[in-house]
Amino acid sequence: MHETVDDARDREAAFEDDAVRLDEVERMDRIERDEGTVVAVVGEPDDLAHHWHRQDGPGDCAIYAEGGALEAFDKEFDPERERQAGEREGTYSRNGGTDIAALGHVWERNGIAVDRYPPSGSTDAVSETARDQAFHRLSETLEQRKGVVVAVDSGPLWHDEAGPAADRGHALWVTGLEQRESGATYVVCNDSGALDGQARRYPIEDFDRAWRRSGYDMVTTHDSLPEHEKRT
Amino acid sequence: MKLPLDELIPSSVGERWWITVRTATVFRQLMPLESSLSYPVPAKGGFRLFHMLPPAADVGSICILSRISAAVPDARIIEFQTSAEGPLFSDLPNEFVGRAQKYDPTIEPALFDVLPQLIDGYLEERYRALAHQFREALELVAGPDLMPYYRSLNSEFFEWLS
Repeated sequence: MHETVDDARDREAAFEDDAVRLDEVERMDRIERDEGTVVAVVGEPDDLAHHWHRQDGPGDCAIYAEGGALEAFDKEFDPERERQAGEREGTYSRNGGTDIAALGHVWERNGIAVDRYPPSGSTDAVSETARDQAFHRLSETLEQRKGVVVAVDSGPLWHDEAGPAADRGHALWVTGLEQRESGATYVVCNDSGALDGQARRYPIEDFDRAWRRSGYDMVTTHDSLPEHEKRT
Repeated sequence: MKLPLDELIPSSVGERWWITVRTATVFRQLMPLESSLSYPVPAKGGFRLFHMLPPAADVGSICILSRISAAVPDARIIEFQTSAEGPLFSDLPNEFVGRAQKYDPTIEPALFDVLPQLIDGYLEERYRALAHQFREALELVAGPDLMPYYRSLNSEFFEWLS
């Protein structure tokens, strides 16, 4: 019997746990072995890792990316309340997810001011100049200890040696940048779509390919995280 | 921290056009963040694409949300039709269960790098071999469930190839 669209939706609502194939422990071991120890960090990725949550539904990435940072601001994060608020605004649906232009709305609804850095909408949006500006802004924002959420495509992040990955728009809470002895640089994210998504390290090359597809779209909190989030 | 930005591979012209469509205001205002864009299919004076809400897993419900035509060299959108207006592809449903489009870094450059030539020399014999390579690469990433939609975007191009 063929699966219907409704059957598939029901199954997706349960959100399968095979979205990411690489085991995070194995992944970290390999990074340590191949790239050496950490020599430089921007941001507080390990301190913020405990605010990671696995998203409930396939359209919930923006809600969870912002929601984790909401907790870091000492605010309560209630995913269902945010879903309902998004539905009332008309910027979120359980099947479709969050509107691109509504990134930052979870923070704003909870009284956190945001700064938006949308793409230019021209062919210059992903020029090398735009790319460099975006990464420098990301680094500065992390140094200032602000919340950062970016729009990406999941394919460049979730593909691995086992094969290509299904491609889909996605939102990530970026919590740090990390450099290893080898010079390899990783962008550290709390990724609600990944099984072990807390402080997940993505090579900067993959992250760039994923982020550029949104034209380096980024929303940040206007203010810094509370000092008590610093644990080390 | 000094970021190794000089070591990152810049976008090709074809990829820039593709991302320009995705970041256009009309697109950003209407479309969910979780959606994704098809790869571009060459056409006379530009390229055509469709936009979809893919499944969260490898297989699931795929909803085609819009159909787009863009002109080069600025990737300006010249046609934008959404599923609210009715069926986007004759004989093909806007929503169906199928296999998701894949991202494969070893294949993707073959789609973007040749796009300017395939548009500039649209249906010219000298580019037939290149166009065949493009189609083969597209079939690998699109998969059998989405290929009919790609063919329907510009049947003239695919008929010329066959």
